[in-house]
Amino acid sequence: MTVQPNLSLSRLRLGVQVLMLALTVWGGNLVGYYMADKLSQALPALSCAYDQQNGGYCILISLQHQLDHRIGEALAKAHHITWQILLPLFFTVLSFMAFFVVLGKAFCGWVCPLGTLQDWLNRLGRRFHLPLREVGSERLHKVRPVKWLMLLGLVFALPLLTGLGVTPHALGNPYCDVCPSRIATTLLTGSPGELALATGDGWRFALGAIANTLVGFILIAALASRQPFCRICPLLAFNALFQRLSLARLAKRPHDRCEQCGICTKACPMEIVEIAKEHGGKAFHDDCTLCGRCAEFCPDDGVIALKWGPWSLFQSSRAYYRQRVLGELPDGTVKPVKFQKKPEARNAA
Amino acid sequence: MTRTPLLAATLCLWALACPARAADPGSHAHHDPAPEGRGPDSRPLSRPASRPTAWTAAPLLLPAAGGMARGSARFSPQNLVTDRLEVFGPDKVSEGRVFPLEEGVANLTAEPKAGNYHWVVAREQRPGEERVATTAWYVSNPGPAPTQLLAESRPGLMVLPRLPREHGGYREGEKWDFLVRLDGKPVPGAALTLETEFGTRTRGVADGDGLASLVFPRDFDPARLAPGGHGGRPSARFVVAAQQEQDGLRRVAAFNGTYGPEPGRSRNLMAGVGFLLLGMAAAAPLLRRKEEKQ
Repeated sequence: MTVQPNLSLSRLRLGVQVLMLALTVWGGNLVGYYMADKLSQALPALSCAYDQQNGGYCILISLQHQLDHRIGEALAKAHHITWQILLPLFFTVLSFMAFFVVLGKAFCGWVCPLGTLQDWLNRLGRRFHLPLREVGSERLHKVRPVKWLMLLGLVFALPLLTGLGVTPHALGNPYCDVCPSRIATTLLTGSPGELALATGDGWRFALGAIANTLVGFILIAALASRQPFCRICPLLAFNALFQRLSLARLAKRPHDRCEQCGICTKACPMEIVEIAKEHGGKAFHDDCTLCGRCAEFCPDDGVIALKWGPWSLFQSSRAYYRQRVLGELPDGTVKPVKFQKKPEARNAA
Repeated sequence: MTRTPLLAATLCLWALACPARAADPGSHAHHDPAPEGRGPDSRPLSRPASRPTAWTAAPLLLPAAGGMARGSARFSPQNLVTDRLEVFGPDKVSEGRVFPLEEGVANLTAEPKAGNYHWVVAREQRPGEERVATTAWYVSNPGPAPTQLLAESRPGLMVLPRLPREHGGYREGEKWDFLVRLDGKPVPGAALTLETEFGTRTRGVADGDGLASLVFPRDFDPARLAPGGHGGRPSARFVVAAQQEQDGLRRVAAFNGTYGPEPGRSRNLMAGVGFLLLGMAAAAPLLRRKEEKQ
């Protein structure tokens, strides 16, 4: 795909993000009111089911409920795990796969409402020249496993243990209880209900307090740091489990200058160093959200590409890079707008 | 250096919320009570129907004790005499399945993939009077939305609700629309009465389209309710009834379900805002410019 400078990949992504934010936050008015009318109950994006106006549900709530109410309870009652109990889980994963095969990790970079909000906040921060805080390669290795712990602990283990009766009922869907998207997206619909903390139960209060603190932290941190929550998001980890099965992927071929250059890592909102140092499958890291900034800011022809099946949707080119950096630096810093007098005006003077 | 004040602020917020926690026994406001037969987290209610129904004279369909499981339910008509219940699924909106009453209780089963909301109807025909009780039975079942189920033309007088989405529910203080139809056609000017288990009555009049907006009263008394079987979430019953007389025939139709307390009773917005601000304060150092220090 040839992208003209006026329609850069970032601008195209911005347009898609606007549409997807509308769909995932207020889309119920378009696709239908009832749950069965929704796009899906297994979207690979943090489209919150507590938002009563949204157009589709995040897969994580279905997973937690099925583990708690079906599988955990069946195990607790010493029933055999039958196909009837596993069938809803199977359909949930199947629905998820139907979406995921098409767009893959692009759900994180192009569709997720929380990802979009963080992205826009960071743009705001760049516009006002706020400092840019990077996690740094040393801390990055400590941060990366957190998303897997969130997935295993909050999405799989605790709901299952609750269904088994080991942990209290309040821990039935613990990830949703701490998810900042629950608060952010419901606030966007004008409802402060999810911001209020449940006071009748200590566990619920604690989880709600964590969620509120987290969303407050993210709202400010996103001004100075790129995609702060995405780095620990369990949905990113869940999507990473299946990323090799999707038609949408990041492809990189080896190039002599990659080791010294590293501009792609600077452009990456997730600071993925592997994109500069590796090639092939290793360059398509677990943390990748397929936002495409690495391909946009790669200064060499055809080194990094966003691909869908055998087709290259966008690939790096020197000409594109030259145009792109005129308005924005790889780290997102926006170049100041320069005002110049028209030559005619000077002549007239 | 910055951790101490943050820790202190956290403890203050916690302490601020503690009295509210102790004072308010309500909990679990994420999933709210909804129509009869639906429990929290889409699980069927297991509360026995032996709770007295003296709070209303309107015909009711209540879940019966013992035996509500996923895909099946037991319902018992109250204030109405009949020998059967009809159940309509969202997949076959015009083909009702008939379930006979045995000792006053009907054992309902749902077909797989027939959809979540099922429309349950009980009718009593007596000389000069027709009484209809309806409720929505929520089955955790994939399938079509109940839009067509509610739009389907059915004989007699009907009170049709707008049903809550998953994770939603009827709650105190909320305004919900109810449609009154006679033989499938809207009844403009029909009088509706909303009655709750706590004895509150609210009246409304249908507009030209047969729609009436009714506000659920703030009358919830969680102390009067036994804890539910799923996290102790309080709920109470309500019924919306309409009457009509024509050619010497008196028709009474009702829809009953459950509603819950408004979230504010078991939630603390100020504590929520406090923790939000705490998080913001924790992230604020990230915005400091290093260059300015130098």
